[in-house]
Amino acid sequence: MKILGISAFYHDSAAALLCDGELVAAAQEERFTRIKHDESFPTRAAAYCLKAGGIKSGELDAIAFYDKPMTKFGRIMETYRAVAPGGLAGFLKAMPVWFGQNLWVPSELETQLERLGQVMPERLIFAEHHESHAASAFYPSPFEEAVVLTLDGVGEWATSSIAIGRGSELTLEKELRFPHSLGLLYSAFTYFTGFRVNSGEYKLMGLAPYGEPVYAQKILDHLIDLKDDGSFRLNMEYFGYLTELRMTNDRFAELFGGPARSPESRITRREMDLARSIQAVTEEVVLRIARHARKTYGIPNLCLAGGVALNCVANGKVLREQIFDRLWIQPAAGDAGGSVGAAYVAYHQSLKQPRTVPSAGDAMKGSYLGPSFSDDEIGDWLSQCNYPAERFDDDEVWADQVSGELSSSRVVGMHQGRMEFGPRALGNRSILGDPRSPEMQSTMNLKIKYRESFRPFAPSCAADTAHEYFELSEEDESPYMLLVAPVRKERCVDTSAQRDDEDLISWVNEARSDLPSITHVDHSARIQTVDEMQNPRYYKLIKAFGKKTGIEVLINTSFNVRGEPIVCTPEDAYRCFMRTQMDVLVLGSWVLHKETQPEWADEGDWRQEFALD
Amino acid sequence: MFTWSEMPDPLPTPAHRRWVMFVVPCLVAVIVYYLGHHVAAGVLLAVGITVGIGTLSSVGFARAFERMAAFLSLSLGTGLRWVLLAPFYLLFMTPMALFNRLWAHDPLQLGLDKTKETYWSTPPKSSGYDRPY
Repeated sequence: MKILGISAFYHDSAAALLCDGELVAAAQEERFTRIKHDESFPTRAAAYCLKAGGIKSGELDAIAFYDKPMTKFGRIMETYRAVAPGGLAGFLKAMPVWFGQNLWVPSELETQLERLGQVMPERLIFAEHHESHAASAFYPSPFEEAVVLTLDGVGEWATSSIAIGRGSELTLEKELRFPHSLGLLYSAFTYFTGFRVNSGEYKLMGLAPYGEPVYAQKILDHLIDLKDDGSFRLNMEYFGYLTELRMTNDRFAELFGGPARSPESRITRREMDLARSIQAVTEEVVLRIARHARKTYGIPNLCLAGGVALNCVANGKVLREQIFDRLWIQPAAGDAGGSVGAAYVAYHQSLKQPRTVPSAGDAMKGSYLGPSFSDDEIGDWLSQCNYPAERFDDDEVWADQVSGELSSSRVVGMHQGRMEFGPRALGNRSILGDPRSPEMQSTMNLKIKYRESFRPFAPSCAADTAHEYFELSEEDESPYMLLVAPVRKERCVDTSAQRDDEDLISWVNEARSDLPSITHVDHSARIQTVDEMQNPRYYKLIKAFGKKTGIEVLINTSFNVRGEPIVCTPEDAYRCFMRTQMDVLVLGSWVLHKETQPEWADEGDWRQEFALD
Repeated sequence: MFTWSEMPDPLPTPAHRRWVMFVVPCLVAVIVYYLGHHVAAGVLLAVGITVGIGTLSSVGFARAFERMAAFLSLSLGTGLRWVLLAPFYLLFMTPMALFNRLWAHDPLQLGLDKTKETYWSTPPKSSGYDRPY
């Protein structure tokens, strides 16, 4: 049975293919169109999935869409009916999009399938938004039974939900409804601190450790009525998203001592403290919900999905509090993952197919679900373009060569194997560096990624030795870079005495541990544990780097520049490599050195290609 | 394994859409002709035939025409929303909202209730998976 899952028309549209319950392929449209957070119908991603699965015309059994558009439309109309005459600008902006496209999902699906040379299958299935999220978290998880928490901005009406998954059944038990949303609360602060909504939330999370939670009580007193069981309502008198084209209003600004920060302007102590405060409140909400769910249902396993589940600091807190025995987080926890969830809903819930729990690990295949490129194809392309490169077919020699570059503090662009699904680069479309260098964080931020210098980098480490570097037990895993844990105390250095609190750059350049480039200012790190089975080549590279340096950890950041989607093809990778100050590019078994490449010339300023996120 | 050579090609415009681009202007020309505007009908027919030949013979032309049509409809829509949607909002939605407020009806449950123990609610029964609502 072959099911194509689709998420589209809000942000991060994506497609996923499920064949007889096995997730065969999944990809986000942005990777193909090169438009960050592309919301358009994922035609290219769907085309890739169908080709990856070898699906010919007429072979699809069902198409599953990740939400119920008419119910969502009903919610929007109900909202305007409640707030009119306020909200006119939003109404005028939203309605043409709805009448022009979003209300006609079935016919849009048919048209796009026709473009792909497919006929519309008999079954068209609409899952609810939070059900899609919950399904994406439960069905691929390693659990027979689990509590599933979904926390995001908004779907149809639900903004947070608690579901119970048992075998092939998934039941939504409780929900919180729009406009009371943890995701939108976090986004309001993202907006207020000058970052882009639906994109800058992870920057706010990265900024939080620089601040103090001085506004946390104010948030709890004025903005949110939080109950012991984690349920809450927002005081909408402070928010603008119901009636205006902005997230917060003047009253909100008054509460926090002035207007919102302008994008790209200097980050002040207030923004750092706001970031820390909203992070603290978010963690408190998530912990209370988790405790309530554990107490109510008594199930020892927890699955998480929804945009808020990408808040790896909060996830780390849930893990360390040991509210649940085991935790699994969908790597594509945002709306892109809805395509996977919708396909699973169709398979198990609608078509009543049985579920087989994976005997080892999970069913996400390390999230390596995107396109890959063979060495021969890459070789043909390199010789066509006259780009000098060296090929290393033996993995051991390859790892030795690349780790040698890394240990000499050279920055390596890594493009190998299948592209990752979800927002994280997990070693196949990554920029890698040496974590021992204290300057590496600002160098990589400013000269390679062209992004804000305060932003931390994540470490990749071998799963079997992660506990030697981080406060994790030998059993703890974080294969999808969705958990934050402290760097081990004996590796850390207390630098607070000589710190200039107002100067972000001096903070960033502090040597906070013997792994300074991946140790955030609060001595934490967003960890990826690399398993030999899941990504053998990347694992070998980390081990080879360990042999040379004694440290089995690498800096891993996504292979892109600010505002650009993560690279997909070798061409994307080469372009990004030549535009930035990366030293070495790895394309499968091929290794390219910057100094031997022909001169690269762009027409005009290439940075204009990507809108800043 | 998915390989480079299988990367999706640029998408062709479906044949039925290209036929629509041809037939619609011609039909409008016929109607205009019967309404007595012969010159306008002639111009429309010429445009229809040109667009028709172009779209049916060249996918590139069809794409360019689609983009232009999308741009024009977006511009038209931007103008029309003030003409059609704003009055609808002010004359239909606003009185409903004011009545709601008059009778203290709170459809979005905006009010906070400090005495309540929980804000969790039971999800409404699903209408099934075959419907978009």
